Amino acid sequence: MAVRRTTKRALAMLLPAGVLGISSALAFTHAEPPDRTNASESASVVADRLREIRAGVSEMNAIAQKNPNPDFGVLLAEWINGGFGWRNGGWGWHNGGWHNWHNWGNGGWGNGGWGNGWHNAPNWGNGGWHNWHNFWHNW
Amino acid sequence: MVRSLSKPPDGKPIIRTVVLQPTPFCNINCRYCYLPQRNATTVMSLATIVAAFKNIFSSGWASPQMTIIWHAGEPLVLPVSYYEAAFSAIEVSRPLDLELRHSIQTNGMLLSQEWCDFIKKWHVGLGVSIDGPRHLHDANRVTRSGGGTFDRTVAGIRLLRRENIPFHVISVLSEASMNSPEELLEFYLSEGIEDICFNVEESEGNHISVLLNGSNVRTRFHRFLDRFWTLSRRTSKIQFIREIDGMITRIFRPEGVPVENAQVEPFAMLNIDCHGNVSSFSPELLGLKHAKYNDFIIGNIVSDSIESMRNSPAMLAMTRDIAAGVEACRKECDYFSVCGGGAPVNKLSENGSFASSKTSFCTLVEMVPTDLILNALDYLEGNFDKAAAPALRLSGPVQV
Repeated sequence: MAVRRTTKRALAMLLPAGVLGISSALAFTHAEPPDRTNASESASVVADRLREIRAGVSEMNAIAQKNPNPDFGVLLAEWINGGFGWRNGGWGWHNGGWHNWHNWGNGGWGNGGWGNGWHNAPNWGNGGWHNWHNFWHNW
Repeated sequence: MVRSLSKPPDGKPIIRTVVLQPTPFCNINCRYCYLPQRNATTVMSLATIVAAFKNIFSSGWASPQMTIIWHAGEPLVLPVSYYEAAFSAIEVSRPLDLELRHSIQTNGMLLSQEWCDFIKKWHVGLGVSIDGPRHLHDANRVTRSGGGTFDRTVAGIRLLRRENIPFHVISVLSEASMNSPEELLEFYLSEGIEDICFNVEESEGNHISVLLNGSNVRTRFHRFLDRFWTLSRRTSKIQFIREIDGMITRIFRPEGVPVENAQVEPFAMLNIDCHGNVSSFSPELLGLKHAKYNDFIIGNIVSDSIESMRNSPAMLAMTRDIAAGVEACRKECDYFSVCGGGAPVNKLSENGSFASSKTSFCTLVEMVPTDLILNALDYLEGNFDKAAAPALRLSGPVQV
């Protein structure tokens, strides 16, 4: 699935921040009233939008896996085809931010989205722990 | 793409979570509780616990990483010595290459220094049920004589904090608290509570939720969660909001990584009551009644092998109908890729059938958080120059 450039830019900025960083960034962003001037670029169907995001995450992941130690800023700027200041370090690429999320196998993402979080014990509060109590209700 | 939980090549199920009911008894009598046996003082025997794990570990179905949840009653009404004996007995039969984690969901009222020492010793994960400040909490979480339980629960939480024991809280959102995100946040901050889960009061068992049956509940929950999320992230004190942060990991994942929904996967959750009766799928089914499904009981952990339970009439019927419900979700629902097929107990309670799709419950816990996150992402993409950079500078790279 094709990933729009704006989505690539957003993912490239968000993912290095980890779950709490993404949550904070979107919450801050969302604090302002929605501006729908670019609404024509937005996917209209939720399922398609979710698919596009996963495709974008996969592309970023593939870049990381093929290039274990290079300057990801350059590579991702090429991916986005719009270069917007990777080298300024504004989003932490040069401070290890990248490694906070892309290393799926070692739990670098780390917070239990798909099972790696289990190994983060005893960091109960942010980890796979939270996968279990999704089902207990009214309790 | 959504796949089911990973399975070994031979197609055997994987038991990931075991929910044990040490006793159905609860020391309080919450107004929204659905557990029908909460006055019963029966206790799961040590022999039953030993037999259960001998059965589970010998089945070949145990996940290499397994969680045991002590729940479905108030676990702490039993003494620490009960759990010392139980945990030790399980350790004796635990395969060396199997990692086991114990967890307890409690109302926190009976926490003591002895409990804290035990929790630390065994690295027990802990969830405390508290519904917010006193007037919201005591509106529903009451003793059998109708008295409030707030003070004792807060005392338990303060003890945990003094002992540096990590915990999360689960707060049931009722009619009143849905209008009070600011008040709830203020309470959590005042008590140093950092990890928060919300459960919207549901209709389950004999309990009918006024909130869930009210009008505009989706809109109201959307407003609540939006407000709570925004305010929480401004404080930097709240580490985890399950409804948002749990969904983020499901939305921002690569293709091909499965979304896990253990509630629809046969035997992914093995739920055992104090008599040794076993059910699977949604844990709340344990203790509920339904003629078609043999009250959701698929066997007894002492007398039946787990392998034989797979072919019990109740298990076959539930597996068939729940799978039909998942397939309906897959075909009908835009949110399937982040949900994986919903919660069977809610489908049955709300729609009268496992073989159904959308529920009010999934509208709230799956759709609303997804909508909020996608709306924020849309906004970010539409406003890079004026919005994105400042926002991300505020957050920076964060290890969580």
